[in-house]
Amino acid sequence: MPLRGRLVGLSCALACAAVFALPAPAGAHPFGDPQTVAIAADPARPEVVRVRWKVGGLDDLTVLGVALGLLPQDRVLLDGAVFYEDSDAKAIGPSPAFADYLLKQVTVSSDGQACAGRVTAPDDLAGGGASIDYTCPAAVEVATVAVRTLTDLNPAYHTLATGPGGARAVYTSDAYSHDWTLGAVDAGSGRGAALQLGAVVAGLLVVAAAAVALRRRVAA
Amino acid sequence: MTVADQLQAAIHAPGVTPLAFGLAFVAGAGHAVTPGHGKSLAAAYLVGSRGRVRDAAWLGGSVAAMHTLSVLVIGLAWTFLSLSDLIRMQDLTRWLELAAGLLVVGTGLWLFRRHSHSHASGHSHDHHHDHGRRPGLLVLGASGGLTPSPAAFLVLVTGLFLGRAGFALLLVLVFGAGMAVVLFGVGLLAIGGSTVVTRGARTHAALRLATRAAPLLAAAGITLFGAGLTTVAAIQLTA
Repeated sequence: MPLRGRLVGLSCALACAAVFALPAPAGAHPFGDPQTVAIAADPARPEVVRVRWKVGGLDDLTVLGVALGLLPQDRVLLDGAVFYEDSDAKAIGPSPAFADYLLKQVTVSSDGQACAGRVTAPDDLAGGGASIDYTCPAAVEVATVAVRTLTDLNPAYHTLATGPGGARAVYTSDAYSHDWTLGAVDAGSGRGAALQLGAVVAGLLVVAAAAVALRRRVAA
Repeated sequence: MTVADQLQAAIHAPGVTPLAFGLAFVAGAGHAVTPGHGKSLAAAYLVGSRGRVRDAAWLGGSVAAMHTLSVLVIGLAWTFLSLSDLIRMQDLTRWLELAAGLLVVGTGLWLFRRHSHSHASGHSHDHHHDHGRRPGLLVLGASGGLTPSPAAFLVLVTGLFLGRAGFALLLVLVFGAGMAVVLFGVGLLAIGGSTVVTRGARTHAALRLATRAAPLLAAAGITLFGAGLTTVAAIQLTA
């Protein structure tokens, strides 16, 4: 076997080794739920807007607890890694600092007038999130809800929001305020998505069919 | 700002830009380079079964197809069926990793069985691999694409919430294409390396032995690796 061939083989093997031996990126975020808020009317009280906030990855809860001074600073390791523990949610949930944080970062107004919020002490902050009732001066038709939770810690955080009638929106550090029509009936929110996804899948099938047909013609 | 963050920004930005697709491709390739996705397994498989360029393409394609399907199914269930009320995404990931590990163990055992069968029936080594290679490769590819990438999942779910589901799915498809290209490249490297070794084996007894042992070593390696993946996932699930 010629020397050149062996060198090629050796370089292939080295390249393989380099690809397989790449270390895991330290900053990689584990796969977790995104942060969410659900906005709803209170059927019994037309002047109330209910907002349920739920953290995304549970380690975000730990990061928030450290930022609020409810958990010790050393819970964030030197390399920035954070590991959630069940006791974290219990330490954060009932604390006034957390309630103040929610009321500061999530605000509701109706007809230009601010609504006063009250946080219900959460039973299961990690699993069920925290609920805030905002009482507005008058019955609410359209509520302007601003959400800035966690974006104060890192502007890259997003919040996926659902509202009455299947309405959806995404809160970002730039787009932190959205209007919600409380009496909205379900306008078939899934229909638009189904149509768009169906169009893409149909397009793919057409491309695949064309490729198969072309191959057959070439082979014939 | 990471590529994943830029991709997130792209789905928020108005219009459908070529830049967004470029970012999705780079993010997919970058994701495939990180550990996992059965790269070393697939390389072992291709070496052990004397794969060809076409097999490397099948491998890349199956990872991409499975990943796109996985992101789509989980993204839709999360958005419209309140999947997160049933199971946390982190737990779902671990279950998927467990399933992927079991698929890999199954492929390894199947390889063992095939190897012993081909010996028992006295077949020569040169032709019997051609048709039996693909199922194992597709299963390995599927196990590599079973766990969705956080970035691709977030793009699809954000697209669903913004009413841009079609654009988001296209981005996830391009993300999968980026993964496929990297895995195809890894497969080519493995095939190139093993071809050089096989050619050398004509003159060196030691290399010849290594080439003969390769299928068995690959089967053993894949089974052990799969058992490792399964164990890690099981430990994380019970922890």
